[in-house]
Amino acid sequence: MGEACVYEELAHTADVGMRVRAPTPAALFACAARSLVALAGGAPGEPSEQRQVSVEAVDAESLLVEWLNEVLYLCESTGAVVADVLVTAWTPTRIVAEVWLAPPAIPPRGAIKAVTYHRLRLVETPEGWLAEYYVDV
Amino acid sequence: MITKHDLRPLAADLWEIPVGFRRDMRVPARIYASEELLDHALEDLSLQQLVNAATLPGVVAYTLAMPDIHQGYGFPVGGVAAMALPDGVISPGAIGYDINCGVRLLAAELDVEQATPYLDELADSLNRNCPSGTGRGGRIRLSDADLDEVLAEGARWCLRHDLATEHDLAHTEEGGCMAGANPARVSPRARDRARDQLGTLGAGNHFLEVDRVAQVHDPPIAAAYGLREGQIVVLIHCGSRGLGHQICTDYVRDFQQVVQRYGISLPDRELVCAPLNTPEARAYIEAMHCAANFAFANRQTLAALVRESFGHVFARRGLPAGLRQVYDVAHNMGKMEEHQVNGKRMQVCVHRKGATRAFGPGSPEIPTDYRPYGQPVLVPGSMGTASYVLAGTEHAMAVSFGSTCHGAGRMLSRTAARRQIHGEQLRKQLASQGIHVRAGSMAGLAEEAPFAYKSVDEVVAVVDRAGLARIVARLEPLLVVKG
Repeated sequence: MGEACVYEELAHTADVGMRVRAPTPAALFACAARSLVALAGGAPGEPSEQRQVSVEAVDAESLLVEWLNEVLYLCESTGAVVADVLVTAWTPTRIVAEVWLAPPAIPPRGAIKAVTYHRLRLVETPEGWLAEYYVDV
Repeated sequence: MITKHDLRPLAADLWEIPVGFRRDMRVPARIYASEELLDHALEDLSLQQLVNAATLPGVVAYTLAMPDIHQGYGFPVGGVAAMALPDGVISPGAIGYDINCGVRLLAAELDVEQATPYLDELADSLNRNCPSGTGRGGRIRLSDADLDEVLAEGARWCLRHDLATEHDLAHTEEGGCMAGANPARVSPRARDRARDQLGTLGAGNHFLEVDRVAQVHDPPIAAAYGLREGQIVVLIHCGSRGLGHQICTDYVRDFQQVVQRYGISLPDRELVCAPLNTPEARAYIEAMHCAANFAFANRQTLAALVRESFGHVFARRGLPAGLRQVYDVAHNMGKMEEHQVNGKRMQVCVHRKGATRAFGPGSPEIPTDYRPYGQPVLVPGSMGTASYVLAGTEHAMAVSFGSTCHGAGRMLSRTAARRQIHGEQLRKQLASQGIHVRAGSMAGLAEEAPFAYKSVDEVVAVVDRAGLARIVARLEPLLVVKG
């Protein structure tokens, strides 16, 4: 929490994506989870529930997709949106995080079906870490 | 980037990217499009994705793009590819996240003059009765046992719960039930996402529309389908909701390792796949059929809710409120079918993602009352223009694995659409055209603005000229419920 998190929307003919920047991989993954809420057009109210989430994958890019799909599942199955995220452990194949969920203050304008591998990017740049992902809506 | 120079014209409205375009292509890639629609297709990654699909193991004849093609994930939307059994592959990404997304058409006894005074009331009733958008669950909360039954039985489950008629089932692709669905292949996460979603539209491009039959192009076929000019009809466009999305997510994740196990190299990770004769493919197919069955049951339940609204608004005024099902088609599916390939009958797995089955006259899969005319194909347009009813053809059986287009096809991103118009402004515009709109989200409505789509008239004109389907009737919207 509290680390720089910058994201911007990426256009796609039918769907939509996000470019996310943060200083560290852990901050990037936290930022990416928050960007999902923005992508759906919603905004969180007061946090009401905390969940511990642990995800493993075969590589760092897959981990980003699996992590975001886990967050998506949490939101859809509870009707909540992500209010904040604290990544407590991160390796290229494993993430452990605390996710705060909140009822939506602004309901999402659209549903996200899934986070995809389409044009997926996860790279270290001179300014920090950058990820790009696209979702099916 | 693929340019027009990489394409060679094969016939009017038919183009080909030959095998030599890229070393790893196993078959050519073919595109049905007019010059104008081809230009749209060249603006994004659609054709690149079609070429990528032509590298998949076991792909036969050619990969195909319909004129409504646009960029998808891994595989283009508006794409068709057939893989040979037994050792060709099945790719969840080439079927789509919204498994058995499809369209249902109900034909009313009412004519437009009878319905017009009550359209506002009907819009409110449909909007209340048929939950749409995010966070709105349906009336039905399924227990684990109920869900298992829905996944195994599809729309047949609805028949047992007074939400369907025998006529409805007989006029649904596959009778509303894919055989061989195995609920054990569906993850707990997928089940959680499904629990309260039966009988809900969802968001995005899904909708429920009340239309009038504006023009009959083929009177004998229209009569066989029970359609006449001036008649009120209802279109329902939705799919397998969170259950299907999660099943695709689960198997795209699992298949990342499966392709390594079977030594399959791919140009795009979203194309992950498994050979059809493997346990991994069988597991996906059994789960995919569960999602397909959920989608059939979902559209069937929505049809029952629509009938309830028609009863509430029209029957109590002594007006005819009946709604007869014309047909229900899937446009995101993988199907095991027999087709003629290079002069030989063979079993193939036809992947249709944003493409509709369009079986021609005489096909045993078509309901007996439609069999002499070909399968009804339902092509929704954008909410401000028109939709079409087409009929499948023998030519489609010969050249496109019995497939045709599925809609208008997007050409403008959601981001760009939102920048160009506000939802409220669009609602007013549509109202001035006499179209009543109910939408859960005004920003979501703006994303679906008619100008974000290609011309559906042009799309269906191409498939009609190319013989992939015949135009039967044009429908124009009167009322739209969006998520």
